[in-house]
Amino acid sequence: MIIFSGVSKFFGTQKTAINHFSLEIKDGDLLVITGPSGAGKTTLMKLLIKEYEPSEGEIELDGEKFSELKKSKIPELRRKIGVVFQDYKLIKDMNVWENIALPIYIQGKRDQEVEERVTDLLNLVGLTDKALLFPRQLSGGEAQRVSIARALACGPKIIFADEPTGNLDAEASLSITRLLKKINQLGTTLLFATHDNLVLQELAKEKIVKLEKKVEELEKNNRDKEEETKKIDEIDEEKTKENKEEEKKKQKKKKTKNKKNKKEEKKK
Amino acid sequence: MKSFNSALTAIRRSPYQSILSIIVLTITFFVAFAFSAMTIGSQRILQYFETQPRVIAFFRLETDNTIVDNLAEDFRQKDYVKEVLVVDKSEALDIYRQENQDNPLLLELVTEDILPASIEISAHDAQDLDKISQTLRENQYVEDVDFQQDVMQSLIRWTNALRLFGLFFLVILTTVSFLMIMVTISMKVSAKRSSIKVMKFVGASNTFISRPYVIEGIILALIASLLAFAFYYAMILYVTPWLSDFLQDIINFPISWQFFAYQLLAGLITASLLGTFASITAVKRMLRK
Repeated sequence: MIIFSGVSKFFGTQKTAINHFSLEIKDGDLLVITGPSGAGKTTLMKLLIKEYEPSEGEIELDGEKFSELKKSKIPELRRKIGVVFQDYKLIKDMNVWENIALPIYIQGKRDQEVEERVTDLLNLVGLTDKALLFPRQLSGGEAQRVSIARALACGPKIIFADEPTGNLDAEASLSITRLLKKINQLGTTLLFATHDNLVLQELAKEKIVKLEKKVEELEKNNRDKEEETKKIDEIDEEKTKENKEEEKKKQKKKKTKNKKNKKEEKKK
Repeated sequence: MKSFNSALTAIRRSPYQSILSIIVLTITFFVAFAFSAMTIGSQRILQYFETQPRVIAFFRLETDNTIVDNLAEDFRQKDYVKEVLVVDKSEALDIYRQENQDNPLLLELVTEDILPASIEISAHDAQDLDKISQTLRENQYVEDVDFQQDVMQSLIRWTNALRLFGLFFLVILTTVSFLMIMVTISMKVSAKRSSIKVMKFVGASNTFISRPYVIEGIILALIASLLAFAFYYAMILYVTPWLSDFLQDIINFPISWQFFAYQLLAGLITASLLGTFASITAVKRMLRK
């Protein structure tokens, strides 16, 4: 179980990413985290893998408080959480097989175990025939599948997919979403961060968490902008009224001049 | 990925960088091998020249041979004495005759009685010669002691300066080798910074990340050390005829295989240590950034 209690993350003095975020995620849950770009979805992921320290609040994973976790234990924590990145983050010098095998080698498993696990994962993501290709030889969808396989390699309890469909077309996005859903059905807790409408439609039945603070900020910003535009409109209206009056005056003057000229001509 | 395989793959996948590092390290190790041979050789040459000077003491004419022999025996017991040579009156006459065999008049005039017995003492360390000459001067049967102290002092100063210079040069070379491996590994780590970041994301510890680089540093240093030894050995074989003429009586040629075996072993150990420490320093520095 993951518990976020009153977690905030400030960068400098500005409240930018997350403010008083509280959430409980049970084992096996599928949670969709949504919000506009810059709402703090990636910050949430980085807080969960202890890449960032929360400025306020506490994060717990299976009863273990992150604030009490020693620096040397961070790699161990990260092995419990598989992360799928928007830009795949595959190691360019390693082929597909090596990329997937990396977390298993990190765990210190034997060669035979590694081989069996990687073969299973390649079957799961449907890339058995591409095992010896390098990341640059893969399409976006295939690269993301490798990234998912790598995230699963350690047999993590949790998968955090951070905008996994951000760089993919509609078809690939749906395929990746369904693959992740399938992984969740097999018992892995899934945190799916996205603002892709197609994916949100596909996951409409699941629990959805909106990063409200940022939305409020946006609304506030929108309100401010509306007020500003109203003010500008009012000023513009006033200006146009003034201009009209001036024009009327000018026209009156012209008319009187014309009348005078006509009278003089008649006299002549 | 097994660290050793990973290191070999890294070398294979960036061949030009690895070849460049190996070339530079080979030059460094070649100089180190040649220099170590030169240092050991020059040490032998210096020792030879240092032990050449002797203290020669001439006894009074009336001194009995047993007194001379006893004194010689006393000196033989001392640790710092390398060799004691006794020249008694009859031997002195033989030497005199040999040296003046072309002049019969001189040979007729000189007899055994007017030639003094003498004792020639050499030391393991030239600095002990002064002590030996002092002891001899204090002996009542000794009439004169021949010992060129100024020449000796000057020789000692030169040999000490040469040794100091050699040590300084060796320290400089070791530092250069260390920095060379460190820069190479730093470049490799720097080029793979994004991969290292990904590794950290998937749960790799600093030890796991640094192990292949450390092994790579050791492999590069070992290859360079072996290559350098091969070139150095070929060079020694090539110059052996000339050296054996030049250094006859001082160093025995051909040089024994044990000497080369020790040198190779020392080279490989030094390469491993240098590779390990330099790459650990480089990786630690880069991981901290």
